[in-house]
Amino acid sequence: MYLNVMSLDAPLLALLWLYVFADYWDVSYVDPLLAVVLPLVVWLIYSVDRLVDTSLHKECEFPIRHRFHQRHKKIFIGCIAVVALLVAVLSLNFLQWSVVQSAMAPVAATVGFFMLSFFSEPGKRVSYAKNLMAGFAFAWGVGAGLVGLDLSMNIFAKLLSREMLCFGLLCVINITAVDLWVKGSSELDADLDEWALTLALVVLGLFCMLFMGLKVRRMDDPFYVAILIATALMYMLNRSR
Amino acid sequence: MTADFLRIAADLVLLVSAASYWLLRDLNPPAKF
Repeated sequence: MYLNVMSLDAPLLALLWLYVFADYWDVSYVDPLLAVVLPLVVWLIYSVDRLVDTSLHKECEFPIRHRFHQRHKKIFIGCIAVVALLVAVLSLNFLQWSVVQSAMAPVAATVGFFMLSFFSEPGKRVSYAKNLMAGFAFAWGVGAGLVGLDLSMNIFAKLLSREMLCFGLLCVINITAVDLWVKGSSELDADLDEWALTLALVVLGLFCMLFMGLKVRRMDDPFYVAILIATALMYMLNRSR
Repeated sequence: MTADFLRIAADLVLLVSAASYWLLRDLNPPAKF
């Protein structure tokens, strides 16, 4: 609960998935500095997003984590400034330049996400475009640093790889599911919202099975089975909420 | 379920998924090993 309220959940998950991708992509050496900078950047983005949300849409009723950020706004702004400075110093002086360059794709997705946040209508309940940007900014953020560490990898091939698309789709579904469960969509009623999510989960499950069967040729591939487990858990949550 | 509980549950899904990767990887090591 405290991790969620202080925006520390996403940085920890990013770190965890960084090592999953490092293992799956056979990256032999993960720069410890990357394991420090990535969670800091994720925390920065999540905290700024929550402060922007509460500033832009003052009339909306926000969940506890947003209210916590608003209540301790000054402390968060101070921490954000310190972390931003630390990230800039570490990235420009100590991190491999190839890692910084490869981070441009998630940075572009993050900029797109904030643009949509600024220009979205306050009354709109679920923004699929915004969630798509957020999901892939997170997924690419996890993968991009690894591509920068291993120069034998092609950044476009890796960021558009099957495993990255599956993980990105899982992140998009995860973010959209929470929005739909809490707020509902403007376009569909509650039953159709549930079916929309179920359909996305079925598509993700099918992709995983197809990739395992036709491409990896291993039906016990740990990566795709892990994504399938997440898909099943999301399905169960969606049905039982 | 409350909104905040649902958010934590969604986080836990990604956590369990990553943990299951490591577990499955150790149970079924890739052929190269």
